[in-house]
Amino acid sequence: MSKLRRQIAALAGAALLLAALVSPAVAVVSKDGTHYCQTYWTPYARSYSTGNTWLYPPGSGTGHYFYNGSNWTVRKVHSPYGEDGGYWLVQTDGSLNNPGTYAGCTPAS
Amino acid sequence: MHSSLVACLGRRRSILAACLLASVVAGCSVDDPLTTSPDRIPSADPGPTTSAVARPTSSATEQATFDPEIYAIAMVGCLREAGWDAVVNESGDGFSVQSVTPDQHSALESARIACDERVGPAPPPRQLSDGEIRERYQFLLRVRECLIGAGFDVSEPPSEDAFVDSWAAGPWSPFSEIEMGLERALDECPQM
Repeated sequence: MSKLRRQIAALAGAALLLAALVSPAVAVVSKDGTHYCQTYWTPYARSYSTGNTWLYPPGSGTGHYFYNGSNWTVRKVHSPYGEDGGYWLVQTDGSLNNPGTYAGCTPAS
Repeated sequence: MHSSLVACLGRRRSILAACLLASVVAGCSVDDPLTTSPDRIPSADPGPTTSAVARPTSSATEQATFDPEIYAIAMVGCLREAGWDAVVNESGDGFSVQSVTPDQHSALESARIACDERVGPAPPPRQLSDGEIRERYQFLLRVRECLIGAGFDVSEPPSEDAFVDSWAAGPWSPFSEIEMGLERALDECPQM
């Protein structure tokens, strides 16, 4: 009986190890750069992506995380007023459309 | 953060809704992220949508298994516990983390992954069937009409087959050409 238990435990362990080995790693794609705006303009980052997506607008100390699911989704986040720009980053575990993902400037309202 | 919400965070997402409801019923402390945006509390009945465009039925299937708003609330609670200044975003489909320098991006991502393990990971995007992609094309055609009705200039859409062919790399979207006023466009004609 105890031998049977050991065999079951060994099989269960092997199954867990196999499951861990074949679990697919999440591929992450990203696009980044630096972008600066003239005075009285506000920097922003814009993405066109699927999946769980990080957006860091230029020079901002704020990261925005969105659950896009399987749908291609446009997102746009601004830096707070008073910042002229800097490093920006978009990162997703889904897909990223290159021309639809960029940083820009908009007139401050 | 309220203790009952904290207690929930180590459990699986399947019981999160019940835990969150219990937390809300019991009341929230001053630093609870829920108190900063009480309208973000999920309800059993989402009520009427502001969109005049009927959405594809397959997105309702996704909603049944994953509610971004409930997940965002749980993740914010977890990240705040870890010391990050996180809040649920206004649209309820994500969260924001303030006071993050570029050299902290990887640390924040590590914290998010750790919270994923506690809350249960958000589902990654799945491969849509040909029929689901065509359903989205029809939906976006209706969104295009909505945007034109709201005063936006939107170009002619591609053919349905061209839309399907371009799905993997990023298909046409009526929002792609809207630069100024994108926020208003998304308010008036939600993209999904």
